[in-house]
Amino acid sequence: MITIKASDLVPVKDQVLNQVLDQVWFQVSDQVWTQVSIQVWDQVQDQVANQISNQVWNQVWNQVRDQIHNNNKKQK
Amino acid sequence: MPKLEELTPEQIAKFGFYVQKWLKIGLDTTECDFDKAIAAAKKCYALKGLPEPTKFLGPFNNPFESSIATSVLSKWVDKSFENNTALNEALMKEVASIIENKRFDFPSDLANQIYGNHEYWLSYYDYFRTECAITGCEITDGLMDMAIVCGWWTPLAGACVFQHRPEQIHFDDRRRIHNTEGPAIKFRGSPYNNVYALHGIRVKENVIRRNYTAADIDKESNVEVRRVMIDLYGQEKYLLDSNSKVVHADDFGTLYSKEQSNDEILMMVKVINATPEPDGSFKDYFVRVDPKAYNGLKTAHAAVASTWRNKDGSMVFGSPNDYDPDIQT
Repeated sequence: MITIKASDLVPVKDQVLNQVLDQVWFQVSDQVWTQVSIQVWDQVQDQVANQISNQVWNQVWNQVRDQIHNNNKKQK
Repeated sequence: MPKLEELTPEQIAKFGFYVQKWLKIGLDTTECDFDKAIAAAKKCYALKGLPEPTKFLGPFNNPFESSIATSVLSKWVDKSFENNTALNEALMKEVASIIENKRFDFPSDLANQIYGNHEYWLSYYDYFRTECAITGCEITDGLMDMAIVCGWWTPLAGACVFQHRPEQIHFDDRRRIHNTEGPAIKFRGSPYNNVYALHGIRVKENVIRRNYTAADIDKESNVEVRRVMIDLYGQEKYLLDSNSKVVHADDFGTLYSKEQSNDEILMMVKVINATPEPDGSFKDYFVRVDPKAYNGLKTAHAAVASTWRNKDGSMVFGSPNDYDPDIQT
């Protein structure tokens, strides 16, 4: 048997995403850092994060906000 | 250890590979591989020194349904199930029921979700680790594994909630999200997360369904959205349906203008195609013109003259009077 505990449901996003930027930073020069961010990171970001992720995030957020708004109206 | 001061030509030549690799991951539309997502999640937790979770749930169709799932879980605290499979089946059934009955009284869980295959920044660590032997990047291994097999997901202290990736993503020829016939980003399952867009501009579903009027266009406050709504509606139809003003009419055609808030005046000239149709009739057609041409268009003659341009975009005719065709084509 498994039981759902309140402690199971504590978000750990920050810990899982805890990045290693500092460690990389100390190993590369500013120039290399910038070069790779512009040529690799930014290119993928333009297509995936800005176009897909952000649009979906906004869509979900609007949907949830609208539902909450409608529920509040019904309760009034 | 000395800093890496310069990349070699070979390392630079690898940029494109990582861009393509992570674009492919980010734009993947296949279903979540549940078993591999579980393994990737366990690796994520282990690499960050977190206790291994015991409950693995999903995959849900989209971020909206996943938000419902975590909300249901919070209402099921202290509830017991035979095993993870039984819990997951009950949860998926409950989420499906909520969707079917539109019982959407749940808080957003978006802030707790990780973007799985959309975690574009992993490309950076992948590059540095593989091409430059930078140490420390290994801590992203679990997230990289997850990006390859899963959409967005929610890591909780004792549970992980996984999602499928979008089912379809449509672009225009400039790689902007775009679909004139349906969602530009379509998810599996319920339609609430579907994104409708034209040339990268997000619009409401009714626009794509062509379920709007010229008055709806006039009410739209966002200039970019209004422009794409006009394009889809048809510029000439919009002019005719929206109380546009006839500025001038002469033998060359009819010049229309339509004021638009926070945007340039829409000005078009209606001309008659001098070449007859196969049935012998003559068709009208509309040409959009630059309202600022010839220091402000005032006549249909000037409007038609302004449509003649050189390859560099400059006017063919220095003055509208220079345009006096003997033969129309």
